[in-house]
Amino acid sequence: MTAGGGPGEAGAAPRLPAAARELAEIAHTLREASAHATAALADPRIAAAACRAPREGWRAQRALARAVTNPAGLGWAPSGGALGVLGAKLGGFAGATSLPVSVMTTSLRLRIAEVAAAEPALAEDPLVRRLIEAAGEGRAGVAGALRALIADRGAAGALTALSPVFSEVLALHALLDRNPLNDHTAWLIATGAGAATADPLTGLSNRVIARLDRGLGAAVRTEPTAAEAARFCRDASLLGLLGDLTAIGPTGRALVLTVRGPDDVERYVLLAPGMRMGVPDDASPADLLGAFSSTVLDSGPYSRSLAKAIADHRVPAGADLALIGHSAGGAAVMSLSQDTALNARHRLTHVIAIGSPIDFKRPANPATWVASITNRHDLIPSLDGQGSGNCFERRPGWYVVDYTDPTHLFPACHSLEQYAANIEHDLPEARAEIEQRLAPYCGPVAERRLYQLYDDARRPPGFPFLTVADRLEPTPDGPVELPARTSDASSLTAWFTIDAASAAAVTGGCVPVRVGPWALAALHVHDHRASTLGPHHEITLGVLVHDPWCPRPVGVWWDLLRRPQLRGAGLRTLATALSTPAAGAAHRNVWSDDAFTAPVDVHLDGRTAALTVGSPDARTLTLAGTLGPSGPWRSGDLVLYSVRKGAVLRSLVRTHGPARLYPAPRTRLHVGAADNALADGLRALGLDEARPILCHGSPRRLVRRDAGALVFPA
Amino acid sequence: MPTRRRPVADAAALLLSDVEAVDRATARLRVLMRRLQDVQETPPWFAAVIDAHITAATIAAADLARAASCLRALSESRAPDGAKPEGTTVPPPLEHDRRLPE
Repeated sequence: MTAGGGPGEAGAAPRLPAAARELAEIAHTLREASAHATAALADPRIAAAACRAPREGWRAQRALARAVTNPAGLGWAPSGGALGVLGAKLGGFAGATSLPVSVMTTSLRLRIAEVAAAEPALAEDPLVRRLIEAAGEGRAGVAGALRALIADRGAAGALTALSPVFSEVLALHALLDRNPLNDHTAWLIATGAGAATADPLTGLSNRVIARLDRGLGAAVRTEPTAAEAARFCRDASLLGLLGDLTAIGPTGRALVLTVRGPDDVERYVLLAPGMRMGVPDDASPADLLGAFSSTVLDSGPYSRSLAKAIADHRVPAGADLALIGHSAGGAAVMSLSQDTALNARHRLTHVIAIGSPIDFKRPANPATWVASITNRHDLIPSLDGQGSGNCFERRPGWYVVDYTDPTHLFPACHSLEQYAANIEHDLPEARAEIEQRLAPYCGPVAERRLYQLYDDARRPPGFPFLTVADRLEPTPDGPVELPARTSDASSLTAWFTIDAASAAAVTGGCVPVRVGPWALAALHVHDHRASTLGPHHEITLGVLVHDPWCPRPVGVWWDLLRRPQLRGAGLRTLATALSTPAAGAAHRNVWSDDAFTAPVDVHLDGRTAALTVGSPDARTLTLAGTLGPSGPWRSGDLVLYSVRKGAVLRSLVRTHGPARLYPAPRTRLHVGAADNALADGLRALGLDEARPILCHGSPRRLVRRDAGALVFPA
Repeated sequence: MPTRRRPVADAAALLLSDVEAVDRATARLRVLMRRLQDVQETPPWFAAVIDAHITAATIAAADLARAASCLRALSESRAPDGAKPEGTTVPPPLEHDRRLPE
């Protein structure tokens, strides 16, 4: 295990990085001279002067042209301006070399040699040596050497073998290949003048890709799982905070902690994990594109969502704030440290980036203490172009730990677990230094909030239908949020004809709607997948009844077409089965005495229905079969009359979503032997082995139901 | 028309400063080669490569000096009407005649 402030300050050959740096400066000087000569050659005013004095003008133009094309001098060295860019690209296509590029190539080869001196395994590996030599000599052989390396080691093994000199090899290849699009980024990598602006292999612009990652950033409070919460530290410390970061993992979430320091002052810590695996561009700012933009741009959705989390945590103005991030999270917190507005609100005291590409980011407040911890075999920190072979001065005042350990397989060495283990066991000096710096933040954790991060503010589920004033209704079994809202449900209502006399016997004071000798019963099924009562299934048996104050044998059909708030006719519920205790308790306490909890299994796919209520040994009902042909239908709000505490309540079930009517369903209802209100009701209505006359349902709908209003005593 | 000739003279002056910069760079390359020749970790190819860079940089400086000289001659040339240019920036004289390395 070796650690140090970089190759220039550690290792066996401290003079080589200095020489490499000097060569890069010389290459830059030569390139400047080339640019000036090219500019003079292309200057129309000098051309005009040459027209006025043709003999001297011709000599001058010829001398300028020779200066930027002499193979023995500057080589093919047009640079800068339109002519320079065009000339350089033509030269790139033709494979012409220039002295500035040759000197820069020497600088890069020297950096590789320096890294190889520090890590003999690199030079001893024949395949890697072949690749490096091919890259250093330019042109042919690089692709073949890379293919041979990948074939022998696999992609991960090849990256691991190359990782200490990855940036340098890429820059070498980009400088010497025939692709003119990657020359600028190769020069930036080689001179350390800035972050790579393009992919060194293809020349594809990084910024164009990064700008695909859009969004103002959003942070929504969420709860950790029990396993995660069990791993959280009680007292903040460097290792404790890294443990918290490890606990939430790269899941697109972030933690904000309030810690009480040794001086009893509350301070705040933001923990940002690395890239979330999965879809390259999804709603999370920590996806692949987000990681890319965090590296390349000064501000991206990831850093903006972290700022939203800090704002939501109500971090007081002027409070001390420390930011700790791993991988893309480190780049994001460094971007955040560049935010002048955040620095104006809070005192950003510490930024700790672990395995992050942050070489070209700088905190807005120079007093912010920055620590960068990188494993030399980790490729991710070199994605901005500066890797282990970096020979340029690190940011003054930064605490840089660039180390290597024997177990350096990439990507394993990039994991936060590996970094945390290295910090805990293998880097005692670095650990002591950072712990000492973080001492004001060491103390009990007073508050901890977990945030799910998003590229953009989330549209509330079911907006605007479900965006209504809500309240908590106290009940003996705990408060119930009313109105109850379901943002994702499927439903099916099966209508049966029943004997009118049987119906009248069970509807209490309500008058069943008659169709000749028949009345109508409905079995209403709701699969609430996302609800304020939690995911649950709901099965309701009811009989269609008249307006309690005005039964009208013919007018009832018009009444049923009216808007629900004006409708008098509705379903008189006889029993409601619910699949979860919470939903059962809420129904009993708010809507109906006849609600009970039972195992319910619902499968609705728009073509078939499969419903069972009750356990196999005490089945209440089974409804199964195909639904037959269908056509569009209204979503269908419901008016329900239910009995609770001796009173009939009227409640509205508002729904929204596409619906379909099934006029000839081929399902059949079987009533089991269970002893409960639902089975009793079905038997009383004679529905065993009945077929519905029609069904209507919806595969996806929103549902809203408020408390019932008292209509009359039951 | 004094301003017409200023860009030529300015370009000549700029190239002359580049000649000096390239000369300094060449000197740095020589110092670098001497400094690393006894360092054990120096790669074996280093001396030959730097030597080639020194030769190329010397030639480049000579090419640039010649171009600067020609531009200066252009800036000092009389217009076809025989009028002497006015307001030109006269570049400093070359310190020495450059010869290409043999």
